[in-house]
Amino acid sequence: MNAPTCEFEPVVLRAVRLGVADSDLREHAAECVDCGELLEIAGVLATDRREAMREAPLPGAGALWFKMQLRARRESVRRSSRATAAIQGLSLIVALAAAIAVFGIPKIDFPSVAELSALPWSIPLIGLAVAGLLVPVALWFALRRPSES
Amino acid sequence: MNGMSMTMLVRDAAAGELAGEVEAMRLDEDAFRGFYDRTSRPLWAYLSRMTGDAHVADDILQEAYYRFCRANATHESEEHRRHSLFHIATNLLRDRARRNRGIFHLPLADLREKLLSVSGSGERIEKRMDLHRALDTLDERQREMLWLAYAQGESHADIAKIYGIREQSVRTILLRARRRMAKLLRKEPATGEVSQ
Repeated sequence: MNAPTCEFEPVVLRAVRLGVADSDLREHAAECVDCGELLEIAGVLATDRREAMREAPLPGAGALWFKMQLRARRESVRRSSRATAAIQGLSLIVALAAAIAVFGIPKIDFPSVAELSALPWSIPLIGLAVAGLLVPVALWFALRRPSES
Repeated sequence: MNGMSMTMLVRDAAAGELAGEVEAMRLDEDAFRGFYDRTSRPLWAYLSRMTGDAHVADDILQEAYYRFCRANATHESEEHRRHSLFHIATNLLRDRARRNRGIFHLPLADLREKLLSVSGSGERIEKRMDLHRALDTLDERQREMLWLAYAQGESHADIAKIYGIREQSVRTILLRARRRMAKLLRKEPATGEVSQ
């Protein structure tokens, strides 16, 4: 669809913005379909805008500035702690790799299940080990912030 | 805890938190206050009419100012700065529309109740309802463009920049939306013109 435009459209829009349309413009709008339509629609929207601006329940500039500063600060802290955690993780991996390169992979003789179950304290020990694994996970789920979900 | 000690605590916490350098927010507070006073009402009007919800408009407004300040961009003029703010706000509206998937309808039933609860003549309320009903028949982009062009007074070139389309496309979309709106406001039967 081509968009035919009347050369007076900018004049109509300016008149709507200023809230004054002189008689010449009104005469033209009565004859020109595009400008008549534009005057009508822009007029309705401009009136609605004025009403909306009057009823705007805005937060104060100072309060918003303060909130933005706090948020920026929080985000800055979060970014730096993420970077620190990444560096720590990387250092651990490098240290492990270096240790393996120097000393080789250690051979550990794990006891078999049969051997373990023969021990009198094996069941409480397994229970403790499972709890030791599950408690941090449960704590993480319980204490994490809703925004992290 | 009484109000006074709570205020002191908040003040102390703020002093502690703000003591360090906040890199992302370099805009001077006084400059921000001035800019906010000049732009917040038109921006709120735009957002509230595009979302049909004062609370959502508030949220987007605050997010828009935050992103504007964080961007810390240099602007050639006040007008350029205002365009950037409206650009950010429009992008936030687009993101919201994308998340909602599909055409977002203005909450017209809520609006009638709200309008009836505030003072205003019946005729004015009906006119406003007619306008919102007409806007509701448009898709989000048409609604936004109509508002930006005819209520806000943005040029076609600026709107084209916001949407990343050609000026000619803006003209075409506006013309279609305008025709549709005019028919609806005059209560003429729709000709089945489909929105883009």
